[in-house]
Amino acid sequence: MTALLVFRRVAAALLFVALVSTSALILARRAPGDYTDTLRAARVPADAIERERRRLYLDRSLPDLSRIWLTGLVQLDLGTSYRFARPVTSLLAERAPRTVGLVASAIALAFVIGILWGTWLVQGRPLVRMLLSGAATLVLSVPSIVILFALMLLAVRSGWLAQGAHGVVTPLLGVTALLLPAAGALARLHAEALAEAVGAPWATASSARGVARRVLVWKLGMRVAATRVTSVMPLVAANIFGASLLVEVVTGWAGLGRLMLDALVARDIFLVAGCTAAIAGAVAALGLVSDVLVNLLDPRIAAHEAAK
Amino acid sequence: MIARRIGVALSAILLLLVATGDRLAPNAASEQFHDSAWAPPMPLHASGGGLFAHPLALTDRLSRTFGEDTSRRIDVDLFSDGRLVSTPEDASAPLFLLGADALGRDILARVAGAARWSLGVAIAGSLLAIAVGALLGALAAGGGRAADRLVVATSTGLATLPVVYIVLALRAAMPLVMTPGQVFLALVLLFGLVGWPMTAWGVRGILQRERALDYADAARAAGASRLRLMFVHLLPATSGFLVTQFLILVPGFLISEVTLSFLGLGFPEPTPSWGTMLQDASNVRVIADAPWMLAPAAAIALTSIALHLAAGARQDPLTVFSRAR
Repeated sequence: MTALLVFRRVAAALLFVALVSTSALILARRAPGDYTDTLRAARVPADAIERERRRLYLDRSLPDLSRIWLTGLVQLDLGTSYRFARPVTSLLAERAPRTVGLVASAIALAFVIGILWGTWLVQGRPLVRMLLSGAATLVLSVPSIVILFALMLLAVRSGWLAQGAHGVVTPLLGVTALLLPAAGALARLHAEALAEAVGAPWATASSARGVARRVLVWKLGMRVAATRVTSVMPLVAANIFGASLLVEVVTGWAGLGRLMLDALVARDIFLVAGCTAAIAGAVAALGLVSDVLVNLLDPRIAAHEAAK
Repeated sequence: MIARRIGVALSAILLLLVATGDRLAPNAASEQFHDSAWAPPMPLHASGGGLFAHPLALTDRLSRTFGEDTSRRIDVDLFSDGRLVSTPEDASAPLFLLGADALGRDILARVAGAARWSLGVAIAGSLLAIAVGALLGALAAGGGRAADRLVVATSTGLATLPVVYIVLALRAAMPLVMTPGQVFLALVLLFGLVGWPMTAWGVRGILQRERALDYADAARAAGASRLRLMFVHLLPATSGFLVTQFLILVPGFLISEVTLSFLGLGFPEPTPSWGTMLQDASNVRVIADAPWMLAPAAAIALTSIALHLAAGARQDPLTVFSRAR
């Protein structure tokens, strides 16, 4: 991947973050009701409310508001949250790492488990293959939230949750629930790609030259198959991210999901835009990483793109 | 193949469930029986060709333990009174086949009644998303370079964002309190708005491939206009793909509905929905003491598995990721 291509992708990602977060800001501002409604309900005098609206930029027009937001975004100053009376950046710095930790560990584990699972699916004996394939279909079709409830039931029954081990066990259950559907889907995808790779003419030729089956599968085939799994990384990430919202709320994990919900309901427009920017940024960064990885794994793609 | 048939059969049963709603159960979904709050599921007994259950009586009010009152029995009728399972008018106590919730409402009736809302909104939303996707896919394939680039760029941006978050943000931008009917309509529209990218990609790809085939040339030679060629000759080739997409989108949107209702932005109480029911069950104490409250989770799992099986094990694993969770 040339420097120019990387630069273009980064620019596109930044544009994407700006576009999505500004849309969220406008959407939150256009929503019925605003933050000062609570003041009106509390019978605060009208001129005080007017002052408050000016302080919170609620008297600005939408284009004005968008300009304030975008100039702030460039300077990494995302404004102040009304509801928490704190800078949005400090709130994000506190909450985002928790969500990123949860989601990133689920994604990483899903890939490791999915690839091992898929490889075993290709390599195993017929009976093992049937069982593994059935299990993959089962876990990929059960939503994370259902897996989470099943795990919680299991944990409650076995007593793991009883002895103050909440802090350790609950996030563990959350990560497991998030990674399983993705791991099952990745296992199927990887198995298909790997089977295709080791069935290709070059693989037969390698075998004929005396390359061991182990090397063929684990080294040569793996590298060819890896592009397929790597290229779906952004989609896997989007899925796990989406599922993490409910998992965070159920497990009481104070991350971006809860923050975004609070912000939306409170009409806390800068916090809504800030959370959106963080989510869009994380998703765009992952897309970039996956693009770079795919290009490293398969130089043909870069050559093809450069030719375009 | 067998797996697929099982999936289709299960999906048919689910459709029936959407049609019947709480008429499956002996009680109405909203009816409250205060003496039976937190009552566990009643075991069914059989004797002389008929089914019956013993009413549950509170043996300890403080710990809310129930015991079977074997001196009385509730007869259980099947397929009568317009319900699948029913009890005689003069039954001494209500029948709870799946237990009762904190307000003494029949869980079976609520799970079945919720299918109509939760599954109904997911099905309607998926149909709309498929229609939008097919239309935009056709536009991208046949509408010139600018239209193609626009559709591809929008769908790529949309597909990389978590759908649940987009739906959440859009739903929160509406009035927070709405009637169940308004929520239904709003969610269907939102699902149609955000669920189309994968369908559009697929339809675009299929159409581009089909357009180069001989039969398309033949239609063109016979004087078919561009619109006619696209919609009459080429679009039918996407039908199999569209069915698979539909089967994959439904469980995704089901989860979106569950998430929104769980967070209080979906169907309001007392409308039963799988999301609001799960919310009632989402605490360790309830899970420990009243695991039957997890019945909606089982219903969600069953729906999801049934639809995935029906979509076929040979589906492109990529489509799995188009699930809108």
